[in-house]
Amino acid sequence: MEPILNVDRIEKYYGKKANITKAIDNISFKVNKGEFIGVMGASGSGKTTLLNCISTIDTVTTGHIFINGQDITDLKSARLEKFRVNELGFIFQDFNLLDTLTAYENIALALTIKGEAAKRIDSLIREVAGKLGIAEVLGQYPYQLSGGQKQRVASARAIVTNPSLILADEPTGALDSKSAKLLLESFEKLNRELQATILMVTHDAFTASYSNRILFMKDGKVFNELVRGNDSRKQFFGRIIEVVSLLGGDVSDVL
Amino acid sequence: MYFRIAWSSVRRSFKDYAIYFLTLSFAVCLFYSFNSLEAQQSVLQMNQSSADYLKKIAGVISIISVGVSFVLGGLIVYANGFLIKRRKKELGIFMTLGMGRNKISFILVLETFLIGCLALGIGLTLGIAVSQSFSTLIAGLFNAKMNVYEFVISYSAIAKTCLYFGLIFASVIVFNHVIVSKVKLIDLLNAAKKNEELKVKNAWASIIVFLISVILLGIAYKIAIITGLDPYNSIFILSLLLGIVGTMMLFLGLAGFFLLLLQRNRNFYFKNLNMFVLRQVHNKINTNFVSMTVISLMLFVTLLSLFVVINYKANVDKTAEGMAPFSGSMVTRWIEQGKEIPDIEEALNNADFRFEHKEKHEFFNVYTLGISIKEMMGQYLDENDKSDKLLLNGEIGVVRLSDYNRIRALVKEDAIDLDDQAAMIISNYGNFSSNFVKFMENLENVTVNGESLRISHTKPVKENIVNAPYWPYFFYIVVPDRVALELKVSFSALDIELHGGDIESFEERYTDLYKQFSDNDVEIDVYTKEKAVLVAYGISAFLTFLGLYIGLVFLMSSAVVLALQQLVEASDSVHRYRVLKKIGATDKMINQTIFKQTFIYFFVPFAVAVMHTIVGVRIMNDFFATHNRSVLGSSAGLLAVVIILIYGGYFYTTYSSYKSIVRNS
Ligand SMILES: Nc1ncnc2c1ncn2[C@@H]1O[C@H](COP(=O)(O)OP(=O)(O)OP(=O)(O)O)[C@@H](O)[C@H]1O
Ligand SMILES: [Mg+2]
Repeated sequence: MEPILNVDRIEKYYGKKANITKAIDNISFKVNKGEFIGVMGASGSGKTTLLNCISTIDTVTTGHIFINGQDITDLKSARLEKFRVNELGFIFQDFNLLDTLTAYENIALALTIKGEAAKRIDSLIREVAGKLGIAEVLGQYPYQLSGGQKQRVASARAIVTNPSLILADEPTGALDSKSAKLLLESFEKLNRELQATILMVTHDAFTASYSNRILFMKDGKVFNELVRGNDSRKQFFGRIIEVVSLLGGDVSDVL
Repeated sequence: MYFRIAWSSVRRSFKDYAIYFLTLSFAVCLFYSFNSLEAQQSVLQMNQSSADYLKKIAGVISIISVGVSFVLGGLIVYANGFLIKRRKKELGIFMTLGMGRNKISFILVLETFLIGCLALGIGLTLGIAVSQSFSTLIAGLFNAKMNVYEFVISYSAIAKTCLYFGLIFASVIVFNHVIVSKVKLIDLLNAAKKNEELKVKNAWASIIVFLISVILLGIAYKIAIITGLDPYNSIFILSLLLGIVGTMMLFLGLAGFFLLLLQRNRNFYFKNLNMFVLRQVHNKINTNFVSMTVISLMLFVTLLSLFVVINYKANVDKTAEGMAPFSGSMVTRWIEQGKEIPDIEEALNNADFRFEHKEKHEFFNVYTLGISIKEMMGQYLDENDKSDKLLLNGEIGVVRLSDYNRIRALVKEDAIDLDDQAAMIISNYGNFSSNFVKFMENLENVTVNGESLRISHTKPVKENIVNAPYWPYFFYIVVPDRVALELKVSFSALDIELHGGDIESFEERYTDLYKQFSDNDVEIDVYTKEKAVLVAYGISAFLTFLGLYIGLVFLMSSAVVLALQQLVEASDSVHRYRVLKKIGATDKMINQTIFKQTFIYFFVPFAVAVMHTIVGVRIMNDFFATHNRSVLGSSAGLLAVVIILIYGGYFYTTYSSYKSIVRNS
């Protein structure tokens, strides 16, 4: 089976000759359809940079990234925009909902940008809202929503276009543990029931334990990989903690 | 080094400064152009009285300029305040780098100075170019001839412009200094992150407000049309108040109403970024409904005053046509029944007045027909129509063919040949009433002194038989001499035509004569062509310049305020555009969004103003009795172009500044 995402020896430098930062230093990995991948690492290890390169918000210095076999590093900007709208969905750490629009309209916006026919929009939104448990709050404005509800609305916006790949950067970063749990359960559900492929960046072990596979990053490199296999979530969480302490992180810090 | 910092920041933020700069340059250009009025005279062939009149206009403009400079100064300080707000963060960074307040203030002074000089330079250049067309305008207004083309530069106007704008820039500098010295560093650094709370109103409430506003405006329009322009009528004043309240409620409810309406249309609402545009505009209009009302009313006043000015000018042109065909005329005044009509020749002798060699002249009488205009064409003219009513108050005079041909010969026109049973009409009524044209088409015979005469020309001659500036409507019947032999004299007249003499001394002599007549209670009026023309054109010129000046300042002010509000909106919304970009909106979509938003924001108050203007024009038409006539002459077209250029220029600059604010975020 062809991988949905194929990251091939990419590097990303910031700055000029004298003080170069290697934010990403020769990373390669593959993601298959229906996988739920976590990316972990300390602050400054290059997680956001990696995600930005995959999401075409940023460009790589060298190397290639294939999504559905399509090399996104040499797409022209017009096709890149189209590709982004059709194949990718984003969930941001700080929600990035538009304060002037209702939850419903925020979700609808992703569809109208894609050029979806107006008559299909309502049913698509109702469907995804039902799955994420936000059907009751669709008419509300972001300021009327709790953090967890906002993040689920943002998630709904990311998946309503049915993208090949959902990219999430610290989606639980701004949530309390209860909301975080609710959101992660809805991710799990999406992944299981809709075969959605998810790549989620986090520095939180609990959040990471919801995924099937975890890439650990350090100084711009992937230095370890954990596969959940048939472990329960609790067991998997334990193994993650081990790796994190190996990394030098304080265990209490990630709990 | 401070100079370099100042210059580079001016250059770097040129896009930000665009509105500010545009406003400054426009303001300077306007100010110079109108204040250079008097100097334009040098390229015109103008008689003394017109020149005096122009001087008077220039005097009034100069007084008004003081007020205008306050308005412009206010605008410039406002625009500058906006810029400083946008740059607070940058100033804060200067401060954290250890630069003292005084030095920052100094940099700002330098910046203001640089921009001021640049704007003055460009504005004056533009003003000098624009003011060249003023001489054509003045020539048109005073019916004067242009000398050979010559470039006019008014040094006194340049000095005045520099002085006034120097003062304005000085106040900007003081304003900046106060801001910088008062502000706390923490405020400067935090200025960029400002979170505005969104108030969401009940959609149905705005629909009700909108409907009420429509009803209020409807009532206001209706009342105003019924009462007509009448500042002493309290009901008319009430309609104005209703109009203002209605406009305010309209802006309060408008956005909500259209939002709800368009939300129902899913195909529109869920297309591209339409819903985002609508929401943005909705919020903006809702929070700014008071200033939108003020702007819209200001635009209304602008459009209406410009229209009235043009209308008046067109009106004057129609009336003045054929009004003063001779170099001079004398006419005996209306005399009570039974009293004797003064003899002009005798009065001249008594005044010891001699005609000069080049002054060809003819004496003649005008006789009464005995029936009134109402009796003659009452069934055609409509008494409820203001201009028809004016015509109905006129009189019918009868002129003998031989007299008529003699005065034609004065101005070197061929003699008219009328057969023995025919009559001819001389009248300018057709200029004012289409009903009169119909009347003429149906008129076959006219009865004079009991004898029926055939009408020889269905189109009346529109040249008057005397100069008559104060009652410019005339209706005469030219008949064969024998028919008028027994008629009563209505008034006596004398026409004088100067064949190649000196107009100035002519003018002087007849003005003196007129003075002598009135001192001695002689019931004879003396109208020279220059005087007649001045009465007609002077007022129109005065109104035109005043209307243009105030109208353009108002137009500019409205556009500036709209532009700055849009740019404040732009900086408050950059995070929204960043989100749009992140969730996949293309640059093209975002640019279109910005375009639509800015366009609606500029268009709505303009459209409301146009709506008011249409009603206002109707009322003005009634007031000036200018029905049935198209006033959209060439000058109206030109003016429309100027308005659209200024307003559109601001719109476009706002649009591109908005884009660059979003792009550079
Ligand atoms: N625009 C940029 N210009 C220069 N350097 C950058 C830029 N963005 C990131 N970096 C550098 O690249 C490295 C990786 O940053 P990145 O944001 O990917 O880290 P991260 O793993 O997401 O950290 P965190 O967990 O704190 O979000 C850091 O050293 C950072 O300083
Ligand atoms: Mg990060």
